[in-house]
Amino acid sequence: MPEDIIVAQKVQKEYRRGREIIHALRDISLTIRSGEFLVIEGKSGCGKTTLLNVLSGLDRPTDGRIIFDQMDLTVIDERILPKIRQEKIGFIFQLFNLISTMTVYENVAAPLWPTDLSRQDIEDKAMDVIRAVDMVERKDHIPRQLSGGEQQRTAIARALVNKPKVVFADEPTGDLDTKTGATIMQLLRKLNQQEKITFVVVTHDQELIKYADRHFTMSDGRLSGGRR
Amino acid sequence: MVLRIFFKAWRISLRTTRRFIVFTVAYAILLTWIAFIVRQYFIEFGPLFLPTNPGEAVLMQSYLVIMGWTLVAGTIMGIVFSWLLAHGRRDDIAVLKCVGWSNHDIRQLVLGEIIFITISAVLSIAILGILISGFYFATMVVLSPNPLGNPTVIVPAALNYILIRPDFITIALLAVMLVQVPGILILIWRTLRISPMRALTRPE
Repeated sequence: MPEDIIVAQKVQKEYRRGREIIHALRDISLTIRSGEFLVIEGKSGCGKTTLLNVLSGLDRPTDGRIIFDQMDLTVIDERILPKIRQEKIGFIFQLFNLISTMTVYENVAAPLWPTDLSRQDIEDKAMDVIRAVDMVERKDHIPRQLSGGEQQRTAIARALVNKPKVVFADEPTGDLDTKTGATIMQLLRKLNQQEKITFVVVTHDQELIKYADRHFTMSDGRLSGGRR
Repeated sequence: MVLRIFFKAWRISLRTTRRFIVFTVAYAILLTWIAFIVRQYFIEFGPLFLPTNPGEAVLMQSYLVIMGWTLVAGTIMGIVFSWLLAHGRRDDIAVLKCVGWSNHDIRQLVLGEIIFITISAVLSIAILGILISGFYFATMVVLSPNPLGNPTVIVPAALNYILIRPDFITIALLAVMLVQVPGILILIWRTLRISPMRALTRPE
């Protein structure tokens, strides 16, 4: 039986916009098991990215608890969070967010630079994931020399280089054409099955539901579903 | 590990060609100008000058005023450059924070870039200084009544014409490092305030 990697309990997130209070997340409870491929689908502005921020420890909920790998992210010291992100979490973004002045290899290796790993170890780990996403030929190119699909494959390699327990993907196919988007989702699914990494994907695209072990629908800050 | 990010910053800053050239040239001009003022001051008064009459006191005061304004201008320049650097890098910094870089790591990255630009500026004016001194030296040898000249006379004379002497540059470098402190503090403050969430929510 896979262990629970993320447990969200009655999570609320409120923002203040002038005098108005925005309820971005309303009473969300969710358990994500290790190795799952989870898709959270919902329209733009429904709170998907806020949920991703909160589940990954980038933001703190107004109320409720987030247990990530047996650590309560809602009370943890902020100074420990970078270490948790470095060791246990990977991110994939809609706009790829590659650093324009770095090559593919450097973008992928960058998460490992602040670690105690030797130069050779960093190179080995980076090349392993670059190979896994089939970008070896392009490793010395900079992002503007790559297609959208190649940029996203590089971003996937960067997310996986630290062998994370969970990868959070925010609209991973949002800036890609349908065919490339499908290729990227197949790649994510393959990596999920091969490496047993948990994936949490948020998207507005209902097409991505078919890749999920379980999927949820988000609407107006509330989560529903959880069907397999 | 400690210096890895520091040296990576050097390589990365070289790739932002336009910004690198603009910053380096601006710092080179600032360094040269400070070195030039220091040179003039030393030629006029020497390092331990004390005014002996009101005329000399006024002259010294005017040099100090020029130096003061130069340092103020240098401080403003340092602040503007730091601001631009932090502004231009904020998306990258948000992404790096997302992938696990701590504030300490980010500080190393931006400091590495500033130090690299300063070193590049010093090296570029050092090379320029050597070229200028070589030109003066060659000119003096050629124009000397005795073509071979006497090195014990020619070399000190040539050195006297050198605009950018190492000791003046060292003083100028110390002054530039001093005026960069407020800019560096602002840069650190700005980069530490960047939230990793920016990477997920930044506009297209």
